[in-house]
Amino acid sequence: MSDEVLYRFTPHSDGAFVRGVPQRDLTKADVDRMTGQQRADAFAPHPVYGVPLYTEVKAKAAASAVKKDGDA
Amino acid sequence: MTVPVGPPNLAQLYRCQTGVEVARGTKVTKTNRWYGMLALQRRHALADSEEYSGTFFGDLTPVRGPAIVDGTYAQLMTYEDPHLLRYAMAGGISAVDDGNSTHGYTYTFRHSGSRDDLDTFSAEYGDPIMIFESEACFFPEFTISGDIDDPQGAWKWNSRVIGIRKELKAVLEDVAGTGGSTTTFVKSAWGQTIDALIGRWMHIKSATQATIDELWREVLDNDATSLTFTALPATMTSGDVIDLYPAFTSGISDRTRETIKGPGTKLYIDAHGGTIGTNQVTGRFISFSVTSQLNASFKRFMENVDELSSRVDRGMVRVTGQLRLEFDRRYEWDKYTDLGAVLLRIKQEGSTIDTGAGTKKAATIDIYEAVFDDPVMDRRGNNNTVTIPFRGYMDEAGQAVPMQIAIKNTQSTLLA
Repeated sequence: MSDEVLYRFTPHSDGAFVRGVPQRDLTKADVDRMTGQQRADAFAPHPVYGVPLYTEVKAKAAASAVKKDGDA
Repeated sequence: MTVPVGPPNLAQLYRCQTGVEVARGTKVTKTNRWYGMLALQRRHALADSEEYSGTFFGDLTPVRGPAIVDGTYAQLMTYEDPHLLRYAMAGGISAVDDGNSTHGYTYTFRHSGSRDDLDTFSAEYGDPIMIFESEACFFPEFTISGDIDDPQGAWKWNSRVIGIRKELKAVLEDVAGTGGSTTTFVKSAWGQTIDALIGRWMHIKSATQATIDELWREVLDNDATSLTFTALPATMTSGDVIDLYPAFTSGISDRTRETIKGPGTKLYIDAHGGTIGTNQVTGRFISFSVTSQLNASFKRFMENVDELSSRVDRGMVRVTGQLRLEFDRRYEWDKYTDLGAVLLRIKQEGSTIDTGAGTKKAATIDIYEAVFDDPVMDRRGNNNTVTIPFRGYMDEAGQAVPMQIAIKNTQSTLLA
């Protein structure tokens, strides 16, 4: 399962990268190795381009909804 | 991996991110990452006051002087960092496209003779988790230099920076949880933006389980009501209180950059009235520096309590510099004694942009009316050398400015 791609590499500008993160699609093993700051840089939308450098394959909204149900 | 104790607090993790301001002094979202060191100081020092109480103790009532925010910024120059000049020479600059198959874009900067047209930037800078923010920042003075003997074989940028405030980025304080686990903190109806808290550091201020009290964890994920982090030794429970320290603005990726190398830099000296960039100085050129001074500062008024006004006090623009050459020609000495002006061009080229058109990344500094000042003779190894200062005068009959700096790269827009 660790080979399953969780995030697609979707560069929004020429030469964009996050230091220490492979410039390719990311598996769970790749993500597990990333620090919180690297995740913030890689997975949050760029403030100018509006899209992240790595796009999540499975949207988090559904998982979040499940968690919220559990919280309530 | 063994979980480290506490937040990193390591100087090497320093980071600087910036955004170009729309209104001078109004904070904007950071959109770009800089790779140099922005070192801004806030000085709001205690002032002496003459008070007497019949004792030897004279410090009775604390009072401060006016606030000042200033400092420095330094980095090795790259072809991808022309945005530095929007805060030092002229803002609002657009690229000129060369129209080749692989496009090259040139950014040309000149001081305005009569308008305050500088851009200013908002910045966040520091080490995790102590991140400072400043606004209305620009460079009232900068120096670009290069030296073939420098162990760092690159053009260097050194500048003063001024701004109007310096504050620590806000913390989410005293957040009381409603539940959790060893890897989650839950607060019902919290309403956080999904993923917006990733990278922040959580400090457990008080916890029911004593073994997790005062521990820190980096947030690895979040949704609207919960944080996820590396496992704690005990479970977080309802009523546990955390502080959530700030992280740098997320989503800003790194940029590929190409250093402007020192070796290979060309110097051209031509007679004033001739064509700039014609006569290259070879076999003698050792080092250069070019300095621009705006003589600018921020004003202050009575309503400015803990910061400066965003109104800028501007003075005379002055361009100076110096060249170091082997002292084996009399041309520069003669120009010095005659008060004769020359055209100076300092140029370096980088990698190829378009192979067919033969275009390359480039950085060019042109001084349109350089007049030499008192030279200093010295030695380099066994050779006699001369360091010749110059001042760039306003080229009234020609370019109407003392200096122009042009940088060509492959970026279609100027970064913040």
